[in-house]
Amino acid sequence: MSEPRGYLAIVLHAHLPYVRHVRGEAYLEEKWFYEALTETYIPLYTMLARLADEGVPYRLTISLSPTLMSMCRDSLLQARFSEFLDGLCRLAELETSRTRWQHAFHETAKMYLERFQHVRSVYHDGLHGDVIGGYARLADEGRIELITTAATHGYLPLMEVCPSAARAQIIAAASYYRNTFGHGPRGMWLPECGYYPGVDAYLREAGVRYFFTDAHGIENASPRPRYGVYAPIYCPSGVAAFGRDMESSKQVWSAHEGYPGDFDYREFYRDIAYDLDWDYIRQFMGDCPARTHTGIKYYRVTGRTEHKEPYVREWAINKAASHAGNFVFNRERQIEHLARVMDMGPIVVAPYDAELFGHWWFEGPEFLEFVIRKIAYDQNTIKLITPGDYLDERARAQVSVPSMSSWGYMGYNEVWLADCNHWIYPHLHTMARRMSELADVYAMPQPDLLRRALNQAARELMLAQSSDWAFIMKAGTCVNYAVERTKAHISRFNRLYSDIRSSGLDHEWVSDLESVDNIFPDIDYTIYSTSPMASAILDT
Amino acid sequence: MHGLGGEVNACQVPDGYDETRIVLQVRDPFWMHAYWAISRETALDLARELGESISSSRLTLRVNDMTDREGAGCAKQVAIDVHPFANNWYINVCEPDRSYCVDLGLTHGSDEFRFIARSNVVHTPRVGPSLVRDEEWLSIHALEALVHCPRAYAASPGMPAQRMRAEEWAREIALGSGGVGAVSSPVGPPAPTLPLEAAGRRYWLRADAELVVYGATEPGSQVSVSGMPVEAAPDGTFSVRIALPVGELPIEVAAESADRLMSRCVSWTVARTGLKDGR
Repeated sequence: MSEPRGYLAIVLHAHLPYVRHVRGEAYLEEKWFYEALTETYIPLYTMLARLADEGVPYRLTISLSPTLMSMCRDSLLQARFSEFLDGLCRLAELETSRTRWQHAFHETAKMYLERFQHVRSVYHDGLHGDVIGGYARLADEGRIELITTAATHGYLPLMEVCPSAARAQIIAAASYYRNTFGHGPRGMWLPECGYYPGVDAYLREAGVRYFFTDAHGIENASPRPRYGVYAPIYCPSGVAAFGRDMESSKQVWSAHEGYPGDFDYREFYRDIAYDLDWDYIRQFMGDCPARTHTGIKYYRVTGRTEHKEPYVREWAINKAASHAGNFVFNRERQIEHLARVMDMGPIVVAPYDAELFGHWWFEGPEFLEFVIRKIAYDQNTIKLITPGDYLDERARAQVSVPSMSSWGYMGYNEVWLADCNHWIYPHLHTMARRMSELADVYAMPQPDLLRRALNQAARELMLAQSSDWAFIMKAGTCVNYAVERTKAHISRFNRLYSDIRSSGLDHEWVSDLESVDNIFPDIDYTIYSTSPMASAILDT
Repeated sequence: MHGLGGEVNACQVPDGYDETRIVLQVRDPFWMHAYWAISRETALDLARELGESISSSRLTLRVNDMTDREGAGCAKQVAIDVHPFANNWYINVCEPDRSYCVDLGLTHGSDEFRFIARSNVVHTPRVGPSLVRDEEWLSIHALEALVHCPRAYAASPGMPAQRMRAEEWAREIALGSGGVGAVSSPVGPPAPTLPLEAAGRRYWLRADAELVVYGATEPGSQVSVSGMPVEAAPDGTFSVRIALPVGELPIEVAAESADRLMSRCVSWTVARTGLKDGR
């Protein structure tokens, strides 16, 4: 194979907020995780492992958020997911009987049954419940580059005023990654691509070599980057920034021009939960008193109408193949064009939310598989690469400071800083200041209960900082949950703070909190210390 | 009773933390958001101090443009009267890529401003590509060598004005000062010329010049530029970016050996003349 003229870096960012409720009523929001495993993370793993077994060459970058990894590794959620899968398989079995005389749906019902059973067998027999371990194997085999994101996906530009909090999000994420995989992450996905000048210094401190910004983060960098988003730049800290390519992004993301809206693809919103008798469906709703998605959907997008036609799997797969062909063709032309005007091999960075593939866009994993195969066998212009490999191959880059930016609506902070969610920042910033105060005051090794309470305070702060809560408050669905979660972590933190300061810690209450908000068992609250000495100790 | 019943239900959050504080955040290039709180103690002080005139006073935000603040006179200032019970405000600014801070206070009597608190300084992002076209290309190894110099930001989380330093430092490198350029290798051909888009909503042009003074001396020396101490890198190189006002600017670079027995001084004068601004 001749030398490629340029590179394509496909980056999938996998994240969910930490949702795990030990007791009390069932929380609908826990289903986000089960659905994502069933529809995205396990099918994606299955596809990538199959390609690896077949010897198809590829390189892909996958960002796994520490919260998602923590949930995947949590025994309580593993057990509940197992039950969820059993329920889903039972429903799919019932559906194959129910649709026996409905020709239009029966084949699709059988497809779901096979699919869910396959996911179940991969989960239990292939992965032994360890999804992260599966991805780690693919990384060890050189198929994917696993990176991570800020500890609880905190939105960093709105922590600029509390630098120790931004730093802690990054340091804690890198150390969680290191404890999980035995080595540090080469790259980091900044939550929502939220960057502000200077935050890269903490990435550097964490040993991270690169991150991503949205296109205008690089295009508006200063001095002006000569090659725009088609070559990384080095921040003055020495960390590389890769910019998102809008062209490849739009083809996949856009609601109107994007592939997923094609009329042959499966319609996401038309779930059997809303079509079938309540008495039939309620047993699969868990404790939830209302109809919620089951994951079984029999219709295709059909058109911009309420009327939907039955899904035809064969058409959808053919469409995924032709869209993959179109995507690769466009990348070839794009890279040929760029290579003519650049004196170095261009890199096109195409980042997506992982859940787009499988969960939102049902045929997404198939599309991705076709893209990988076509790039491997049907052309010589482009090569799949990871940002880490790219930096290994090409050491030189322009020095420039990216511009503050995000990939949210309008490109800056307005999704997370709006009328509906700005009330959280006085709390989050005060908590961050107080956490640093605690870390500075209780700098020496502490009695066990105090140390545990300090670590728990750090967990509560981080859980409150998840960008998801502010996002949900803005997006307008499940708002109540996001508000209550935020308030819960604020109030738990505040009580920990005052109990610690007044030496009035209640052993039982702290233990209770530890079991409820049990993320990051190895967290070390001293990452919030503002004294340079503590930073130096962390460095070593 | 451990307060976790229902886990996330009915948790109370305080209305405030009884601190006097104003915090400023960037929303986008044209909008910032400020929130504030006034402690009970501050409120009582204000009431005592202003007496009856407090009831007719107005809560005011003074938005200070801090961009050109370094060494050059007063900040540009805009005052916004806000609702007396407001505790946050979205502030519209016309010009992106500027530094701002906000003072919270009460306007009373004949427009007297009683200062209460000053916010942090923020920098709004630029709109459109940077006008700085100087390029510097580095290999990661060279850059790492630079980053390990102690004058690079050493990642102490509490460090103020970190962003400014990062930008300045990038500019220093970008301008190709010999001191740091020793480990860099500028790329050959000039940048392709692209049309500069109008970056704002109206047509505008801002142009200015600054001066980079750089050099090298024996490692460990004390270096000063026009009387200001300058921290030299471990290899003895130094560089500093300074304002270049209209007129004559004498520059005096002095170095003193680590043992203080030897010293050298190099000086010259830089002149900036002939400002023209037309259409």
